[in-house]
Amino acid sequence: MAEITNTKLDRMRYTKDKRSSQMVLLAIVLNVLYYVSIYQQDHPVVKPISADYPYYSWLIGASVILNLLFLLIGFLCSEGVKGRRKGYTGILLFLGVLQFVRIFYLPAKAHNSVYSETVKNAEGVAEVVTKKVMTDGQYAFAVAMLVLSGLLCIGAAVNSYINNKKLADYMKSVEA
Amino acid sequence: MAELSLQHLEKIYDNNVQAVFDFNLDVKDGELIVLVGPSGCGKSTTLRMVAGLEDITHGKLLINGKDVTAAPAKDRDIAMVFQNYALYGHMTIYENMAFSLTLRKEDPNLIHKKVIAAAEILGLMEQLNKKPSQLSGGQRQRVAMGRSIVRNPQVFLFDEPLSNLDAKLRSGTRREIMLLHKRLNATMLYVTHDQTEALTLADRIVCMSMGHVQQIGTPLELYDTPANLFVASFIGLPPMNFMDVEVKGDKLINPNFTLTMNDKEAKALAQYQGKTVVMGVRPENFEIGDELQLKVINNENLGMNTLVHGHLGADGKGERITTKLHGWCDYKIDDVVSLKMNRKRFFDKETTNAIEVEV
Repeated sequence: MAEITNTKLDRMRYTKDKRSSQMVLLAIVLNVLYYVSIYQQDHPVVKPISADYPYYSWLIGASVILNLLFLLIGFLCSEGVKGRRKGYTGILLFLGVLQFVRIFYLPAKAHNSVYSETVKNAEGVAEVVTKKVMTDGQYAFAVAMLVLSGLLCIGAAVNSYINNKKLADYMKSVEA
Repeated sequence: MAELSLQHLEKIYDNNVQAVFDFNLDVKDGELIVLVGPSGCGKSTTLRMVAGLEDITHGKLLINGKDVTAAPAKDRDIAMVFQNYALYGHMTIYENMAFSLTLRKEDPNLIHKKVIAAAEILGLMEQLNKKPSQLSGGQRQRVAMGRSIVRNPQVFLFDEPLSNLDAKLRSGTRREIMLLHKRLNATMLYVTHDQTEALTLADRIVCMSMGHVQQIGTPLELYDTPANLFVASFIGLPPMNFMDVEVKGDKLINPNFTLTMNDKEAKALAQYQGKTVVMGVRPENFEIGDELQLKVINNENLGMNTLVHGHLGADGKGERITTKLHGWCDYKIDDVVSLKMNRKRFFDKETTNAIEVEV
């Protein structure tokens, strides 16, 4: 056997890339937090449902599917990068970018939507008031979750790529 | 490495069954001791007491002079290799070997060096990234040994490590353990019921039966001068043959033969005049001659030797005897073979203890 020139790198031949894997798992957890918060409504059911109301449309089904896919692919990537398989870094980058793109879709759309409510003012006169479907606080939380989740995916991909590159270079030097 | 002292060890279980009686043994630094005996003789219990997996009912256990009788297993600095390997199936070989050190939170770089060193010793470098299920039984047992080596323990304990292996792997792994012992010069306690393992591996053998130590000695001592009938029958393959003989004057009389004692035998058996003693002869101590006759019931050719089984006497009504004759023999059933014995042992029929005869 060739002499071990760099123990830290040599260890990578036999150990798993746990850091990258754990980053992806954390990204999945944050995505779940985003998802469980996104359909929360702090106001009574909107009546009548306006045409631009974001939730009760085909979007709700698509978002369920998208989140399930994220969970599945994210977990596969977590296992993939743990085993130092190169192909998963590209998929992780894609997942990371996707999390950022999603911000401009459902949360932003819900945040920009409004509904009307008739309330009596101080003089007892009925008045139509316009309110946001998604509150600012809820929107900020959802965006933060998606941003962090996306950053973790990209970070895991970069970390995995750097480690794999270092290991490949080391293996070349060992074999040379 | 370490010296080990087992002083008057006894094990009594909660149901009052006593598994080990007054076990005494001093193991020197770097010595390989094999505990051998049939199933249920207390050898594994003794080993588990040393490991700390069983409480010691009575007695003391010292490692390097320090009393560890009541110390928990984790504080004894002992590594144990089990018959069933006890590897973690979901971990790679590298992870299995590194596991105990990882639990101790040792420096990962140091762990790596130790694992690689152990893997090189055991020839496991190519297997480090595999899972245990991808390895053969012999390789798995080497991994189990590797896991012990990386810890650099004071004492290695082996509990029938080769019992799960087929005959070929067993002999190969046995040689590896022998080489490992020489290389590490480690203090080892090894339990087996296989006397071939005991004879080939041991610096000293402890032969046990029914919880009692029958004899402690080198392999040659146990083979050549067994302390009693049990040791004589247990050590050696095929086992020793036993015949009742009556001591009368300078004669040893069996219904199927009469022998004249030499001076040393006569001196040793003087106090047994008129009594019956047990004469033991190993199969390999027979050769073609004129002292007794054997009626053949089976003939097994092994190439270099032939095992000839039969009953004493031309009529085949005497004791059952197995002989190991040199060369290729072709005896048929009911053939009568004339034999002589070139080495005999004698045992007291009542106490079963050996009667010492000067050689």
